[in-house]
Amino acid sequence: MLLISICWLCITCSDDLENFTVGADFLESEADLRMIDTFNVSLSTVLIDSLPTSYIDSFLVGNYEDDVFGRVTSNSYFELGLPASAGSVLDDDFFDSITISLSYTGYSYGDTTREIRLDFYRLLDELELTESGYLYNTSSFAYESAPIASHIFRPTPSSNDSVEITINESVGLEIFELMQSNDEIMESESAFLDYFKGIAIVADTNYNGSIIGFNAEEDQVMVRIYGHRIEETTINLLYEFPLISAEKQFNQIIHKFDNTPLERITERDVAVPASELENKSYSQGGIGLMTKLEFPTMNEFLLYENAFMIKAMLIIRPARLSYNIFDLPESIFLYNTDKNNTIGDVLLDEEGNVVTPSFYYDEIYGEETYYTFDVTNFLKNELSDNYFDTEHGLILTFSFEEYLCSLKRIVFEAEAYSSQLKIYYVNY
Amino acid sequence: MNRILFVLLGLYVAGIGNLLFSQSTRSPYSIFAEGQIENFGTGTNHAMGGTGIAFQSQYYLNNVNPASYSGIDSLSFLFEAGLFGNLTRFSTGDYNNTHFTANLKYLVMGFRFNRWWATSFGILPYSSVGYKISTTDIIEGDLTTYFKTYEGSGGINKFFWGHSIKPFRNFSAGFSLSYYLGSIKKTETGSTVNDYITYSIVRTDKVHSLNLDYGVQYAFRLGDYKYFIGAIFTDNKNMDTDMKCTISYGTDSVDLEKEDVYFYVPRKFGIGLALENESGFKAGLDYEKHFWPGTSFNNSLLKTRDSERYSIGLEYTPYKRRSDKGWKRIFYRVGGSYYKTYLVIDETPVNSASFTLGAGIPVGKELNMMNLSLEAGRTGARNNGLIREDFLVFHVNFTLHDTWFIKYKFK
Repeated sequence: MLLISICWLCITCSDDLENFTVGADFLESEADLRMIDTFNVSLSTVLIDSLPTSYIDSFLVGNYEDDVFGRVTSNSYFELGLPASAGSVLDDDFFDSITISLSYTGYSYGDTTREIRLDFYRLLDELELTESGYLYNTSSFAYESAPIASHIFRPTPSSNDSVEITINESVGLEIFELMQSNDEIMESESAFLDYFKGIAIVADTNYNGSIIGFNAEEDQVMVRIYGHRIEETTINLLYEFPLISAEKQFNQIIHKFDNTPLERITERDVAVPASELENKSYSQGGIGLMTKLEFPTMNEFLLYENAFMIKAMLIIRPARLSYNIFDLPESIFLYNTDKNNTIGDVLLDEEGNVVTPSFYYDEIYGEETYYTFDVTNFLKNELSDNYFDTEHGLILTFSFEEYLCSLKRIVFEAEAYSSQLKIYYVNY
Repeated sequence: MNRILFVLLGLYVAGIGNLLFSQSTRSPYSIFAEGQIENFGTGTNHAMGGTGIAFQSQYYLNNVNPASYSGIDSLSFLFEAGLFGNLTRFSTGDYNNTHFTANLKYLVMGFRFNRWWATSFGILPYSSVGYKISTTDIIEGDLTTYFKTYEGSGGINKFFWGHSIKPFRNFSAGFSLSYYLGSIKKTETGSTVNDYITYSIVRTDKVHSLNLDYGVQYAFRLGDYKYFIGAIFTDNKNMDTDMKCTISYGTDSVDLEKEDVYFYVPRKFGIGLALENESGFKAGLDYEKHFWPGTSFNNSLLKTRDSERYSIGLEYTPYKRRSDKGWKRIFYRVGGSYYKTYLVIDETPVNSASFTLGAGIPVGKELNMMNLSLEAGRTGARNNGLIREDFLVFHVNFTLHDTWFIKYKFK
């Protein structure tokens, strides 16, 4: 038994392996780690066909123009429903006024210290969803030529406040009288919609200010008719016409690239190389600009014999001085794409998690501001059949929410060596 | 007999798995090929500098020469097990490291079938690999430092079945059929700071081969002394290997094509002289030469040369009769060896020298012995970028006897 115990003891104590430096000189390595960053990353800009901008529960309205992205104008369309007590108006009741009230979401794009002008029009056509069930930034519906309300103001998006805008009395009076007479129009929503097809909020492009977000949830937006009734005392009357069919509310976002580098982009869904855009690439939500990344020389990696890719890091740099006014997003995403520039699935890592970048911000010089993405999984999968399909590119853009519901923008530098693919591989 | 079976069973449970494929050693010199070549002797040989070509197995099993088994006492069943503890200090001009390893090294049994035929079988280590070395390297193209760790483990064991026949009174001849079986695993790990990148390359060489060892011994008497002459021979053999090398990173892994490494049993011959007298004195002298070809070991620093080993061993015991007690029952041993190993690293040969003191202490009534030895020695040198290993090896060996055949007959 003693013998057995000693055996156990000895076997156990021989298991410890501490670190050791003696002997390193004799070793001949089976492999060594190398890094190569000479594979081209080519950047281009794609203006995609259209973005679904309906049912996002917010109005984006306003106009902003600068010499990088040009003029962006956002208009919004929605339908109105009936108030609950539409039939309770008496013949002797008096009409006072009609307003529309909008509450800020807090979102803004542009310069909010400047005034913007919003005009409210009565729609001529009823809003109708497309076959896909959405309305797009490029969708459009006819409205009357004269506005029913106009408002010039300096927005205060962070105030948590709301704006109440007076609508032409004639519109209010007409509706008020229909209520007094218990007209059929006021009895059903469809009849009312047939009579009052909705409202377009249209930004005046002569005002270069900002684009502002307002809540557009059902029951959050009201057209209010104020009146009064004289009995023993005066009773104030209020009829609230809410926004309905939020799925049909959408933002029409119009760009005008004139006199900017983006002027060269004339066709949608076509990738315009950075060389034609002052060596930069552009992404902006709302209007549908995206940066496309391609790796045209990646097949050369296959010429490396005895190389095993360990890690591939994509480094992308925002153009210097492009983010003085517009903050850089902390997170941007990569999506698979093809030669037709359609957005595919978001890029995933080996474990199936969405690839998110590390963001480095050089506050002082702005020279070392960049995003790095781990694109190992993407490259390894693409190379696994011993062929790199150079048409398999990546779309670099914001989260879907930011892309569809905001005008977030970013400019990437495309000068040589500014974007890099660093491939760490083991040479064996 | 029951007791031996019990001990055997215990050893199997406790250590056989460890013994079979993980000889534990710790030496940077073991990074080359099959690693450090072990000495075949059991505890008694070890205490005498590994000497044994001309010694006969009598109260212990001498695996150095298969012809020796004829000396086994006719009624005995012998069983040997050995444990090693090795404390080594490694030093170069700049660094020092000290390491301790210990493990069960061998299990050997032997007995005589009849007057002219004796046998022995068991497991011995042939070679062992063990190291873990950490270093740094530069990422080419990036000029940043990363860490590299090299680890080696495993070794080759020798399963043998030896036979000794004694056709004449003073002459015996033996051979041993050996099956070499082992696995040597070498892992190279690279990692950057914060484990941003980690990878490992695991190379496993499975090695197996059959081979034969031969030996002869001749004894004669001259005056008060009995003299023994012995010789051993083993032919060279390229071992069959089965290599697998895999690089892995994360969940990804790829098998790599790599050149086979040479695993080689060198041609070996040895001669030995021994003498003993009635007063309990015994001495032996061995010379062995191993013929290594100019083999490529996938390492440009390494060349091989023919290795040579010289050893001398002396034993004295005052033990004469069973009634002796205490110090009078002890076998006192001393030995020394000089070994010119097969390694020539960067034009510098690696040599090893050691000195051993030992004692054989009878345990219990039968001829069971506990053999203790302490070997102090040095391998390599600090010049020319080499490493000096100053080692102390403590060896405990149990030689168990059972009068198997007597009991068997009387039952």
